[in-house]
Amino acid sequence: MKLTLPQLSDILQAVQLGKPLTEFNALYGSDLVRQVIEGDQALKKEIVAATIAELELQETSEKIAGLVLQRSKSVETKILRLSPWILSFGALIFISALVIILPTVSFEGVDVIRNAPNSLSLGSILSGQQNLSHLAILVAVVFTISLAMLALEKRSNA
Amino acid sequence: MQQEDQLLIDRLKNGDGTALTFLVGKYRTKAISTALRMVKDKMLAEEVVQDSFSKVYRNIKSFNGESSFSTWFFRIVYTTSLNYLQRQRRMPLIETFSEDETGEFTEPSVFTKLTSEEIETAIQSELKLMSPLYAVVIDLFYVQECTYDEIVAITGMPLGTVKTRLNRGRSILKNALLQQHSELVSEHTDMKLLGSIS
Repeated sequence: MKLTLPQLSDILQAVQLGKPLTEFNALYGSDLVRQVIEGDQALKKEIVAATIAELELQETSEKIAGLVLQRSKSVETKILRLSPWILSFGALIFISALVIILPTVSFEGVDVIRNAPNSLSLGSILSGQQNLSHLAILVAVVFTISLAMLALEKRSNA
Repeated sequence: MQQEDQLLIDRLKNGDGTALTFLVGKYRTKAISTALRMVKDKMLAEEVVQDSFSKVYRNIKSFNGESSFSTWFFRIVYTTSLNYLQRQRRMPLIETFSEDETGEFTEPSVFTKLTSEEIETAIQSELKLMSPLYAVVIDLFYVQECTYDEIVAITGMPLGTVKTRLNRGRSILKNALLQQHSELVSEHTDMKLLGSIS
C-alpha cells in the first residue's frame, strides 16, 4: 500500500506533536506506520547530525551580541544622517514645484480682475510684480541650508 | 520556554543589552542553520543572522506576542535570507504543486545498509545542492522541529505547498542515499513493484 502525501503528512505531524498513532495503525496497518516513523526518525537524526557537523561555530554569543548592538547603532546613525538630507531634498523639490505652479494659479470666478490687462495670479499677489520665482528660490536655498545645518548637528550628536 | 523568552523580551524592550546576549546564545546556531539552507554559504549565513538579530533589537517594541518569539524571529531570518538572495539575484524559482502525489519516506533498511559516514556525506552534499525553498522547509521541520502551522507562519507558504516541498525534499534526500549504493536502488525498485502488485 502506498500513502498519499496528505496521509503521510498527517502521520509525521502526529509524531511531531506527540499524538497517539492508534488511528493510523488501524487505517494503514501498523507495519507501514512503523516503517514510516522509523525511517523518518533516522532521516531526522542524520539531517541534524549533518547540520551540526557543518556549523561548528567559532564566535561566542557575547561577541556576536556586541557586534549586533554595534551594527544596530550604526544603522540608527545612518538613519539619523540620512533623514534630514532626504527632508532637505524633498523640501527643495516641493519649493521648486511651487515656483513652477504658483504663478500659473489664478483665482477663478474673479472675472473682473482676471480680465484685467495683467492677469492676476497668486504669484503676482505675493510678489507684487509676478516675480515670485526669485523669492521662492531664495526661500528654498535658506530652507535647504538650515536643514543641512540640522543634519550636521544630528550627525555630530550621533 | 516561551516564558523564558518573554522575560528576555521584556528586558530587551527596557533597553537591557544583556538580554540580547542570552537570545543570541539561544537562537544563533538554529538561525544559522536555517539561513545556511537558504543562502548556501556559511559566512553569508552568519551575516544574515547578525542582520536578523539587529532587526530584532531595533524592532523588539513592535513584537506584540501574537506568535511565539521563535516564530517571529525565524520569520525575520527567512525574509532576511530571501532579501540576501534577491540582492545577489539568486531568487529561487516559485513552483506550483499538486497535493495528489505519493508520500515519500525513506525505508529504515536504507540506513542500516549504509555506513554513517556515507549517510552524512550524502545528506550534507544534497542539502547544499537542494533548492533553498525545499531545504528551508526540511530545516524548519527536522532541525527546528516546527509544526506545519509554524512553518506556514514563518515562510508565508500555503499549507499544501509546505507539505509538498517537505515531501520533495525528503524524496531528494532518499534518492541521494539510494545512489550511494546501486544495489539499494534495484532492491528499492523491486520492493516498490512488489508493493504495487500486492
